[in-house]
Amino acid sequence: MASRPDGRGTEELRALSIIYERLDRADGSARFAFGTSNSTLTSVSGPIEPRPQSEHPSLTTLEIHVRPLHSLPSTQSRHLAAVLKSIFSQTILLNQNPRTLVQIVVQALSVSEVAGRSGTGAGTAGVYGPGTIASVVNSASLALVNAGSIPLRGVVCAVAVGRPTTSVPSAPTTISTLVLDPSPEEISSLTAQGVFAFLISSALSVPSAGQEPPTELIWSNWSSNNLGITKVSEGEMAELGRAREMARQGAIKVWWKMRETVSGMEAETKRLPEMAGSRAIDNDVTGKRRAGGEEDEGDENENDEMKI
Amino acid sequence: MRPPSPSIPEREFLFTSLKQSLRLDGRQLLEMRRPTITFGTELGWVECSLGKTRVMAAVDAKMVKPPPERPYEGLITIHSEVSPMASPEYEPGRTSDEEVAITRMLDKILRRSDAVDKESLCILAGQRVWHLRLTIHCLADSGNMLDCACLAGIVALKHFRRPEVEVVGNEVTVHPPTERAPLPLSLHHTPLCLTFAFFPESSSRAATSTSSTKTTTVLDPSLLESTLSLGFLHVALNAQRELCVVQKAGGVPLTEDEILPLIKEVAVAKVRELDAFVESRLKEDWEGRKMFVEVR
Repeated sequence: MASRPDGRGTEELRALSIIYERLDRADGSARFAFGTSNSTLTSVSGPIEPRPQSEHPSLTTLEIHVRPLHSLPSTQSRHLAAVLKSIFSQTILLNQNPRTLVQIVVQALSVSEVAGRSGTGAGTAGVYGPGTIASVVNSASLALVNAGSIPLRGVVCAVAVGRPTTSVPSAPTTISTLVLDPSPEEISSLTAQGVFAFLISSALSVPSAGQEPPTELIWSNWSSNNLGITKVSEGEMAELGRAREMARQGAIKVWWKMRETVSGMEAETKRLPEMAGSRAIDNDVTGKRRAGGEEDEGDENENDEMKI
Repeated sequence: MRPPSPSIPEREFLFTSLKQSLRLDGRQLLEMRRPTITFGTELGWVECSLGKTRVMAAVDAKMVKPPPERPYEGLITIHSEVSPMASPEYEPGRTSDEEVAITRMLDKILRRSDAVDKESLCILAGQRVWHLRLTIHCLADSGNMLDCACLAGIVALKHFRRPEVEVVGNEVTVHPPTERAPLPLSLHHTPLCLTFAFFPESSSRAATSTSSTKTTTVLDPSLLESTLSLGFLHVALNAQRELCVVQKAGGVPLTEDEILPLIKEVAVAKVRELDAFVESRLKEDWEGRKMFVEVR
């Protein structure tokens, strides 16, 4: 089994970095990165006043803009925006705030492909490779949580999975090796790749460390290039199942990391005492609420700010 | 979605304070917000902020065939579309006045003022030249996005390194950054932009008065100051006291003895400080990277 260029195990994620940017004119903003590449920044504003022609009488209008790092948005950006719209239409409770607009703007901060692709990679990674798409979904979820004003069914976490060329089995009895969270250097040599996005929501009970929160696959773009493989013992659906399970474990790790940083976000946010209290009520993301804990934290913040 | 215009108490409070030379954020009238410059891991990626206003710039380069009328020069494209991230009042597709002002100013400062030596971008005359693409992303608009964008743009161009290219006859070899150290762009000078905003001096409606009323001038207006100002003056100069661009599009009429001291005294001094700051930040960042480049 070939080792990965950066020495990670097959199921190891790169170090995740989450920063709440606190952009001045947005209600919520977050920057997410896998390792030092695949960094994206998302800002969320809402519920705000919509344009008259896009106002919907019983639902919140969802508007998503995706901007690449270099040059102006192209068709790929519009496609990614459509994908995000389908994911977040299911995540945001759209019927709670009719006649309003939720505006999500995604900014890619790094190029997802390392120059000099050999050309044997599966599909056309283009401007938005699997790492970037996963990062976009994660930063959008974090920005929505950071805004706090938009009711959510849960948090969407995404990771990419790939099958490196070297792992194509020669003997018909072996199965291929899959790797979690391929880095830009690895992407050029993948013969199958895809992003899996999971909706994670502890609506009923809060899991303690080690327990698994309930997950639901909400979107995937797995594509597999099987040219050259003549005999494989497992079917393609079985491989897809393995990829999905590997991604699910990775998404849960991402979710735990998000949970850690969210508690820090609440303490850092310098909000007026009344706003901190009302945020606890509006926020339907019950996964982030420790039973009774959030209200207590809000009160503590309130006291600190009063002293100042 | 346009934000509501400032209320009358906000307006009156701002004007009264400015008449007493007080600014709402505690700055002096001609004091700029402290700029910060952050560099990314890739060369040519820069994020600048002036207070809460944040702009990011990224440069990339590719080789293209030059147009037949200019075979010896490289190409520079500047993309500066403002997204709704900067503020919900910017809608994609609909270019607001501020966006147009930013685009035109960036074009004048970075392209028309010949800051970048285009002939040095030529690889093989008539066949291959470098096409530089500077993309400006406005992340947060808290007043004076133009200065921040210009700063980010010029710092990104100074920070960027293009791969070394070897030309033998008609053969062009591009050396990747891992083989040979990439080269900086050849910049003639470093233009930096400053924005002044004008406010009425007397409490009567100065905008309708035809006589040249004295105005209060502030440097680097904040968001509220930008919305309520009577007019702007954008000046771009370099540290060598050379004027690149003066833009005053509309707004309250000013006499030359109001404008000239601003440029000759205030702008020159500020640009010198800013230039020194930019150089020191670039040097710091390059020191940090040197250890990765020198090892061969």
